[in-house]
Amino acid sequence: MERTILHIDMDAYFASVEEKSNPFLKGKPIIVSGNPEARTTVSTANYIAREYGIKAGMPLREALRLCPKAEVVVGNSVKYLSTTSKLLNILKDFTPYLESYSIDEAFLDITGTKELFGGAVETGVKIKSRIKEELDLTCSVGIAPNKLLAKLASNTVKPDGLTCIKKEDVSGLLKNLPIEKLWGIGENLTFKLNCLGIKTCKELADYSMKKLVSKFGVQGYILHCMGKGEYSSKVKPFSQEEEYKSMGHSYTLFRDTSNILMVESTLYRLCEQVGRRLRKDKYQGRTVTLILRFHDFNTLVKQQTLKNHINDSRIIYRTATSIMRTIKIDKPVRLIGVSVSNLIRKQSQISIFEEEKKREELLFALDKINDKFGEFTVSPGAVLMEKTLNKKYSINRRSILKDDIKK
Amino acid sequence: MMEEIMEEIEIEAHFSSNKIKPKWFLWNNRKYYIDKVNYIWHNKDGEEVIYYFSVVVGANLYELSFYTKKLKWLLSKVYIEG
Repeated sequence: MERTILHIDMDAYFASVEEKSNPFLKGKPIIVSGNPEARTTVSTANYIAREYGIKAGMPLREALRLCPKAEVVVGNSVKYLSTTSKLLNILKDFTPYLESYSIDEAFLDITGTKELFGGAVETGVKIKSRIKEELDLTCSVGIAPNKLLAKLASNTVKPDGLTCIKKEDVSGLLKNLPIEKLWGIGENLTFKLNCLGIKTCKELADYSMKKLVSKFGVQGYILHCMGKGEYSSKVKPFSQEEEYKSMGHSYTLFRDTSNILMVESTLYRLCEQVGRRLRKDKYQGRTVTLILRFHDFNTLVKQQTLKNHINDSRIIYRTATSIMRTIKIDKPVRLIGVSVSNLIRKQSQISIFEEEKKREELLFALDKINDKFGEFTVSPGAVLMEKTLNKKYSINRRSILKDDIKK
Repeated sequence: MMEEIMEEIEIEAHFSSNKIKPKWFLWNNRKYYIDKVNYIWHNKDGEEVIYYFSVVVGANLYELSFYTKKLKWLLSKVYIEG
């Protein structure tokens, strides 16, 4: 049975939400970014700002050079997540097969439900009007036989578009389509495929599958299918609990630093966050990975696999710092990341060792306090060090800025 | 830009059909009548559910927050142009 997949992509999502919550921004170029006091990049820009060449991921300083009159709004993830939860509640009314792909994108399998709404296109129109009516936001919709083509379709007409790709149109559409237009084919892969003489989807489909597999492994087979517009990944039902392969957090520092205290306190906070997530979702992992990116963007990724599965933030931190000690940090650090992989669902086995049992009870109590009163209500002292050091830097930076203005 | 205030305020709000509609708030002994509620969102901090309201009073923009557990209203932010 041919499936009908719908892809919803919210238009300039963060910027649109900001425009709705602040009518004084209407008609102005808007950039949503991180804290402009620190170095930061553009999260998203509205369509007016995009006309100046501003793109997501661009350093804020460069974006402001392109459009000095742009309004910079500090992103508010709470606001966007709350809006996404309203959006998903709307989408749930159209099918139980709903996959929230990212904060502003979702896939819906409407194969079994489309007739209830008058057909596939009518379902798309109804979704668009409900989103407009209830959230006052616009989205672009793509309808196609699979996720790959639905994503391609939603990107075709933006903003506020609705595009349908029918099975019989696929080969004609893909014939001259550049491979980088396909979902999942980024800059690096495009370069590698271009080196093989593959530039269009048809060329990808016609290329020897054996050669693709020998070069890219299993991905080679997937690429071959993608070239033909085939994609086997199904839309996961919303009720299905996601199985995690790893859990991690990373953080770009306020400024590059060689201060090991700063690096360690940030690392402790990240380990706390990872540990909290593991315990909340009842996971334990064996492999701890540390990521350090230096000021020259050189990135070091090192991991250590433990004998036992763990979810104690302190052990994650100890492992991460022991990995760090094997690395020569001779240049300022820009980004710190930590993740735990090799995950299993936590076994509810009671420890026979008194000390371990006490530690588990302590973690349980700490988690309960943080669940009730909010994250980091109780946290190790080392985490506070990060705040103190950041505060010092922020005060120094402000006074430097003031001095600059005076001059 | 939005400037953080975080001061407790007195408020009149209507609760009906699962919706909260703030009408006016009292801040620094002055009553501000709300012309329009632009946007509502919420967040959870521990067990506390906080509702945020972006509201317009005349030519000014304010952000109000309602702490549902503490039953407390705050003027969280004020929009300053520039």
